[in-house]
Amino acid sequence: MEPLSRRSLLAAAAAAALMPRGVLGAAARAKSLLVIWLEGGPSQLETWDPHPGTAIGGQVGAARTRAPGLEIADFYPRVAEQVHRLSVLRSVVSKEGDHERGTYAVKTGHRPEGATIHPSLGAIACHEAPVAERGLPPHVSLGKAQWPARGGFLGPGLDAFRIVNPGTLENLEPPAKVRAREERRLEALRVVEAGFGAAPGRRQEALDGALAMMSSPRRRAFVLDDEPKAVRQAYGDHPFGRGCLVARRLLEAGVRAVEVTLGGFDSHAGNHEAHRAAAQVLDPALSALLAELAERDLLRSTVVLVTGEFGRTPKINVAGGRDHWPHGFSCLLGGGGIAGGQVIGETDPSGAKAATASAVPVEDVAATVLAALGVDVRLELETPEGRPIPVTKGTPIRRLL
Amino acid sequence: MTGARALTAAALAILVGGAVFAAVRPASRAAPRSLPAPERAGAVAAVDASLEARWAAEGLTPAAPADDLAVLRRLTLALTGTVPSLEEIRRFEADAAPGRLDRWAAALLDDPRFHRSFAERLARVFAGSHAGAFVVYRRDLLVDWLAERLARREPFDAVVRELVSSEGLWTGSPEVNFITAAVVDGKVDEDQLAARTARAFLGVRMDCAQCHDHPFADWKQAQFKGLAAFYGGLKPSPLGLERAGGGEPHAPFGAEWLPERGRPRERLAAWLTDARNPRFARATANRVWGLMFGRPFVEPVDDVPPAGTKGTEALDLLAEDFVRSGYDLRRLVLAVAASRAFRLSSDLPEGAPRAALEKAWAVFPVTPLRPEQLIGGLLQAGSVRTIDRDSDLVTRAIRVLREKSFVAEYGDPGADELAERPATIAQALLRMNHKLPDEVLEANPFTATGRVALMAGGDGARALEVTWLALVTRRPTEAERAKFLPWLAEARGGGERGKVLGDLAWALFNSAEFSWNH
Repeated sequence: MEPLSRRSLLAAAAAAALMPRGVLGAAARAKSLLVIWLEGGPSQLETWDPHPGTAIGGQVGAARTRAPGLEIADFYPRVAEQVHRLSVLRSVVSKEGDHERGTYAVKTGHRPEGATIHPSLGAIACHEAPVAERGLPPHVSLGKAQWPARGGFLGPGLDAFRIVNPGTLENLEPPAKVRAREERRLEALRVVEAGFGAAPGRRQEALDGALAMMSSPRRRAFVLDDEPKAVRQAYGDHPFGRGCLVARRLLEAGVRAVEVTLGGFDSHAGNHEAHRAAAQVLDPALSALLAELAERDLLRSTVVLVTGEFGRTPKINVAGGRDHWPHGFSCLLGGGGIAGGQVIGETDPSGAKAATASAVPVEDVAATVLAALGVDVRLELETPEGRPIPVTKGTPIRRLL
Repeated sequence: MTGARALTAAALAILVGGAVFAAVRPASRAAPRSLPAPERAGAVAAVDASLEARWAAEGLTPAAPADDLAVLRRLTLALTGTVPSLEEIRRFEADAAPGRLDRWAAALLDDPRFHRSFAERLARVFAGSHAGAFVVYRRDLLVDWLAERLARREPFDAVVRELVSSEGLWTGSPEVNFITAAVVDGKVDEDQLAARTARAFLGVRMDCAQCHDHPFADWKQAQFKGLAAFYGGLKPSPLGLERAGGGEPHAPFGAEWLPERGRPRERLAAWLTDARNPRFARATANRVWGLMFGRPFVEPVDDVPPAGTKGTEALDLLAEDFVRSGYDLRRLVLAVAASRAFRLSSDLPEGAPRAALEKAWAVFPVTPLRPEQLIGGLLQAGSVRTIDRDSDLVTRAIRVLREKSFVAEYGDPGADELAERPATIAQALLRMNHKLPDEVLEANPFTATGRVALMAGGDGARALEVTWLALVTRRPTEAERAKFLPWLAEARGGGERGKVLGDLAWALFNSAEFSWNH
């Protein structure tokens, strides 16, 4: 499980030397975006920014990783073996302390304002680099996300396609007991459709696309029957583990943007226990995913962002919980040409409010993701009303690109 | 899951039991003949004349008048959010006196389904559609409050004044949720309220002027800030809303209508609803038009050009009558429902210029149903009787739950419901493969399909007719009868017939005819 073999590095360098600049730019571009969404606001202290032995540190210990000097919470022994492939941002700040608004801010890189709904990063990726092949949605959300990534003003066609129960085809096939009647149903539908003359054309596309998806062999990417048992076990036999494995399959199949959601982080009471329970699911799944992405050479073409809507208060409340804290939290970011093994920013071990001088606004995280995906961060997108909206107001983090 | 299904089945049994006899056979219940025919409300003739003049000037031949049942369908969808029930269709068809559509429109305005559905539409505009659990509960209180006002025919200007100037706690005074829906981190966001006020009550998008002068309309940042200052310094406290500080309020235009005295929000409320402010009535007329047609008279619904703008004469006429009537929302709804444009067909002869005709309201526009109309229509079609306030509590609870989850999956359009969205692949997949349509439409002793299969027995023609009426509010065409009657005839036994009918109901539900307004 080496990160990148020496030979492939050499090959890449040789190829780069031979290629003209423009082509190199294109070749270096990330193809896809993978967001691991930790819903509810994971505590930075119990994930990627432990402060053991301090007043704010709680009971969790620190685990060493393969990146020199980088330690993460010891809830994550397996992720510790893989996390050097990504970088750790420890001073992310947002202005939104409410779940819905915070989710919007991180998923789109914009604050919610007015009636303009900004597109999520995944929707922008799909919009800027459309997927040509049919049969799979370009943008997918796996698991029970409360606010899945949306297309916003780019249109509902770029909303993430939801599979609430990963590993199944869900609405991509008829319910089992009526499957035998599908032929007759579709025949009846054709007859009825032929009789409805109003506004032809505008409505046919969605139905055709749906039927194409239902009959496409590519949809097998959503199910796991042909994955070896050992692989499925490594990810974990639970919806999130299956979601991560499906995500890998979808990325391999050419899906542009995938998000996988894990809940259980909103620990206003019993913070330690809640985070330990969540880690038992996240640790195997995320580590298996990172290892496989590297092994299958997908990490170079996939930007990986692991984050929630905000972090949690350094101070532990009377219920043993931590409350919402957008003033300095952690996320993991890497892949797709983004430097790995870096640590950006730090939080105050005494837990005083202001993050640090090196604060990274969520807007900058979004800008970094977009830049790595090859999107010009000065780009303006147009709303249906013709209003130009900057794709991001953030600045890419130079150290990572 | 099994428990929930059993519950559903039981609820449907209560609904369907008994009523199906009446509904499968032509009406045995009293038709509302006793209702007085409402006067052809105020602006109808003038609106018709204005649009007809436009068609003539542009050389457009309008579509033929729509069939009465087609109008009944779009009317019921607009006013109650569901398709007409079999029971209603039977009663409607038994009413042979002239003017039955006007009578039905008026009757629907007294239907609690209308109060509820319109209140929900308005609440989205007034308070957004944020989904946090606490906020949903607050919004529900606001919806109840609005529904009650619609039921007791409170003038619309008074409703808006109460919303804008309300004091008190959100629990005791639901209307104050207009303000508290804009609370961010414990503070009232005055910019959000100003933007919403401008959109909802003035038909003006001033949001961009929040940060800079509007690039192409003549709104300046100072105008926006002056409007926002009416909501400045507000803080929710245990005693209600308190005002401390805040900037100097200015009316963005028409300063002479602004009362000099009073609390800032009282002054704003009076200014907004002053009879001299043409934007309030025009914005309301445009929204009501949009809710009736599925598409506002001018788009977007909340960016309406000033009174007298060429091509928007119909809005002026409706707005003037709305003011004259003392802001009677029902009269406005009835006028739109009675207009010639509302009663035109969606069908056009081959080669007719649909886009140009739709633009001039010379053909009824074909628009996708909103998710709540689609699900409402599905659940209603699965039942023979009308699902309304009188339906038992279990049925309604199930309906509300399903509506919410299905709407979430189908894609909640949020506050801006009248912005037209393209149909998506995910929606088509959901309609085809989600288990809910199958549960509602499959033939079993508890569903309408099952009862129809049973009652109609070997009478295939009757079974087809009832299924078609329940789902698409029309009778099957010749081509459909020719195709499907043999299917039913070949089916051996009631069980198999039920399956064929279930498949036909599935096909109708998945047809564009069902999921698009027409």
